[in-house]
Amino acid sequence: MRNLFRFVKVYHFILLFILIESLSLYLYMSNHKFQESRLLSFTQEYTGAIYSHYSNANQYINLKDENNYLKRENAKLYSLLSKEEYNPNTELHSYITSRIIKNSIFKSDNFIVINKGEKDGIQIGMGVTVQQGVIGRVHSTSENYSKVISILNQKSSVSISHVKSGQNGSLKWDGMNYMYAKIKDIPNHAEISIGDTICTNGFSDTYPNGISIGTVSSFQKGNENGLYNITVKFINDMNSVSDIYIIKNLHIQEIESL
Amino acid sequence: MKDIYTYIWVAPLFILLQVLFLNNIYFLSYINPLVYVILIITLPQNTEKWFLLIYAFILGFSLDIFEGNLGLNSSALVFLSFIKPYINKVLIPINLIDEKEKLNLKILGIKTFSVYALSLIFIHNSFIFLLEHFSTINLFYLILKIILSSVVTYIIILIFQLFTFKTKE
Repeated sequence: MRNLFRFVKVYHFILLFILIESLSLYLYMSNHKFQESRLLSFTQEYTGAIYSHYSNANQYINLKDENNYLKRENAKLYSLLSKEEYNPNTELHSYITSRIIKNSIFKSDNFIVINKGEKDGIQIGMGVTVQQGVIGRVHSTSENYSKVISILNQKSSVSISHVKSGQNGSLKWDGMNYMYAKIKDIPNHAEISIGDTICTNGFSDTYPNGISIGTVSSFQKGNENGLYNITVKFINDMNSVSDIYIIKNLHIQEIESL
Repeated sequence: MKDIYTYIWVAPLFILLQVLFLNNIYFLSYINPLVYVILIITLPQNTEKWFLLIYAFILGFSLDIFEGNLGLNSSALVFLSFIKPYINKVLIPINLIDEKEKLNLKILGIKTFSVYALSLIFIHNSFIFLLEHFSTINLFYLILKIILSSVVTYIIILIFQLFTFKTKE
């Protein structure tokens, strides 16, 4: 026993290093999968509170621009109301408004923290969008805050359609520039040109149909696999997003029970 | 002992600085300065080794909680604080300074400090970016990111050091 204690004392640096380093790497590897981490959601309340205060202070600076934007959006919505009759029975989606309190755009896997949580009805898997553009999907929730997997995350993938030709595909981010994403599964025979709109096609129950995501900025025909390699420029600026909608699919239980 | 206490209350300041300000400034997609390394770089040579490891782990872990990827910064900082004594022996001349002095610009002089700080920053950045972009290795992008971030981190640390010494005089 005494020899063991002596061994530990002499080599305590290396042993402690191996212990702590393997703990850290284990934490990192296990958290790297698409899984909810209970430790993270526990601490989310506290870090969320700090981010909330900071973004409150920040938001004061942007009040004037925000007011102008809201006035324009109000005008647009009023004009829509007067055109069509509002029939609540066919409502597929309800929208919860929220604000981003922490964003990141240049890591290889970005997450967003928003200021609504379980008590506002947010659930894991709900889609998050703005008026024009997709932001991401809810990853985990705590009482007052939620974490959203940003579309700028190599694990996220949005089901989209190329509006002009009707071809469906999936949009992924490649980890490099925060303004561009890639589509790699639209076949070569489709007619693509620069400037074409790409929008969601409603195949997944996360996002409603028809939300535009971006425009084609460049494309190459893939000679080996018969699929295009398309670069899409996002319609919205991920750096300046602030007010967002979280989409609650009212028919999700029915769809999932099929 | 007094020196160690300053490290404990300065750490939250650096964490908040990194998380609230530096991570939000868009320095092109290549440049991601990680300034909190300075807290590990300037620790004196005679700090207890277990303190080095545990301090690095707590610092890294708090950063991870904010950024949402548990274990990334903590493994990098623990690794850095593990090899720090060996790098100290190689890069810092024995008779230049006392063992219990903090290793900052004023005491080491610009040449030694530059080489020492740059190598530690470089190692730390390589570890983090390699681990982060683990699954998608685009070698050119990675190397560019490591080099540019290290240079910018070093410049920011240099500016910090110059400011803290100006106020003392």
